[in-house]
Amino acid sequence: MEGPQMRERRSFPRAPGREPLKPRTRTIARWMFHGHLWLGIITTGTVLILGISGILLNHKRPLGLMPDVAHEPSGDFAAALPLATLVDAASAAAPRAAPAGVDRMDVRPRDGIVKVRFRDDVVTEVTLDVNDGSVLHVGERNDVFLEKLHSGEIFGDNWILLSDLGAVALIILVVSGYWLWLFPRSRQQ
Amino acid sequence: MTRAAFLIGLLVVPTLLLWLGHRLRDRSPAQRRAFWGGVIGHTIALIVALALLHYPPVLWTSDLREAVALGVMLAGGAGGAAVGVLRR
Repeated sequence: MEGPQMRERRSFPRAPGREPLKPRTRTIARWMFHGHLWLGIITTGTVLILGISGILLNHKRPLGLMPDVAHEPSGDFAAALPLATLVDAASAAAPRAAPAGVDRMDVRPRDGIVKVRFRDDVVTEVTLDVNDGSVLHVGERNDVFLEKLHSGEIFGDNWILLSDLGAVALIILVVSGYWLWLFPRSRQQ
Repeated sequence: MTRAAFLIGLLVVPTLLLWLGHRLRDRSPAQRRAFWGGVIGHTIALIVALALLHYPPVLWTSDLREAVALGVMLAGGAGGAAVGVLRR
C-alpha cells in the first residue's frame, strides 16, 4: 500500500523496473540535489551582483563608464613634462577632486597621454598631453566603482570573501547541475 | 551596521526562507503566508538593491542610498513575511 504518507521522497526520477540505487549513490544524489538547491537560493543575490557588474565592466567603453580619449603624440616621449608638473595641471583642471589626492597616473607613450586619477568619491580622471600638459578630457571613472563592487572591495578589504563565495558557489552549481542532468540519463543506458 | 544588514539580507534571509519553504505543505497556514510574503518581499527588495547598487556607478555619495541599497533586502524579506503573517 502506497498512500501519500508512504510515498518515497526522491531527488531524481527512477525508471520503472530499475534496480534500487546503492546507498553511496543515493547519498551522492541527495547531496547533489540539496547542495544545488540550497546553494543556488542562498547565493542568488551574490551571483546576480557578480553577473551584472561583470557585464557592465565588459562593456564599460560603449556604455561610457570610462573616458576614452583618442590622441596622437604631440612630441617625443623623451621630452615629456615631469610628473609633478602634470599633476599640477590635472589638479587645476579638477579643483573639486584635487584635495582628495592622486590615486595613480597611467602613462600611455604610444598615445602621448597621461591619465591622472584622483581618490575622490566619483574617481575623477584628467587626461593630459604628456608633452605640453594640455587638458584633453576631465571625467569620472565609473568602472572603478564597478570593479570594487564586483570584487566586494567596495564594502571593505575582507569583503572579497563574499565575491569568492559567489565564485565557489558558481563552480559547485555547475558541477552539481551537470551531475543532476547527466546522472539519470546515464542510468537509462 | 548597514553592512551587517546587507549580509543578513543577502545570505541569511534566503536561507531562512528556504528552511521555511521546506515541506511547506506540513506547515501551518501562518507559516505558509509568512513564506510567500517573505519570498515576494525579498524578490522585490533584491531588484531594488541591485538597481541601487549599480546605478549610478559612483562610490556612496549619499547616506540614504547606501542605507537603502544595503538594508532593503533584510527589510523586504522581514517586512514581506510580517505582512504575510498578518494578512488574513
